[in-house]
Amino acid sequence: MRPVSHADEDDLVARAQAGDQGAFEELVRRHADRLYAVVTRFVGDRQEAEEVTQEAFLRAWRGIGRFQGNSQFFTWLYRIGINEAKRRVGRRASPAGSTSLDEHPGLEVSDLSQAPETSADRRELRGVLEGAIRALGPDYRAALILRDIEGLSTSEAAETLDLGEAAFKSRLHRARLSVRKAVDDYLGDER
Amino acid sequence: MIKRLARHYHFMREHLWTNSHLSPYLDQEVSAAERIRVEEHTHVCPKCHRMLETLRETLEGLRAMGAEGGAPSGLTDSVMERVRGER
Repeated sequence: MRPVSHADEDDLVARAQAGDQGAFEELVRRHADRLYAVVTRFVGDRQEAEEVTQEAFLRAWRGIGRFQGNSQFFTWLYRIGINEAKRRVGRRASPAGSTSLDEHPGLEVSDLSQAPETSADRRELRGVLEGAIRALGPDYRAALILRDIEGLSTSEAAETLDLGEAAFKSRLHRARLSVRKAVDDYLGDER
Repeated sequence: MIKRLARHYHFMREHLWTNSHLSPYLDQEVSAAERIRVEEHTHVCPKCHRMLETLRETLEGLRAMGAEGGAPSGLTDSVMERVRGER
């Protein structure tokens, strides 16, 4: 959920920068749900996501004096959360079946006449999507989660990842094609 | 012969261009002229047509996964406990 007004949030940030913990607590309340959702999609485990989200907020508190207001507060916060999630994921061994985007430059297309119809099919497709997202490299996963699941605009998502829009769009497109291939493979197996 | 080669070249050029513009097309981040260009090619290219449709369905599936539920209750309190512990 976006803050009620930028002016209102600007005031909270300024007060938090001055050491007002109550103001920072309000910022946490406003952004906890969405940050947790982004981190959960990234790390794939709710308990771990809770730890990462807490750590991200703590880092935000420690570094809030460095926030200069050149970007929106939530994009700065999401960046901290994504970076913390990447660190956590980076400590794990690569999951089996991890897919490098460079391994699938030419993507074949199958007929989609067997698109999922039942709720069971939709749940299964969702499982395919979640697996495909987890198989993405961290940079591509972040782009896809922010833009296509969390619904940030291209400019907001690019800003969060500290990318120019052209670079972000390129990364997003490759991530989408990789996930699309998993969907295509699944639908092909169902025929 | 030359005309056939020219048509083939034109088709492949449009094919490559369209593939690279499917994402911005679905995001409605293309100009009116570019939108027409994508639609004209996907109308005559079965492969691009299917690619567009599978990509559209993938995006619909992803968007349906958007925010579900919220942060665990107590997360804010846990964060603030750690913040207050910092000096």
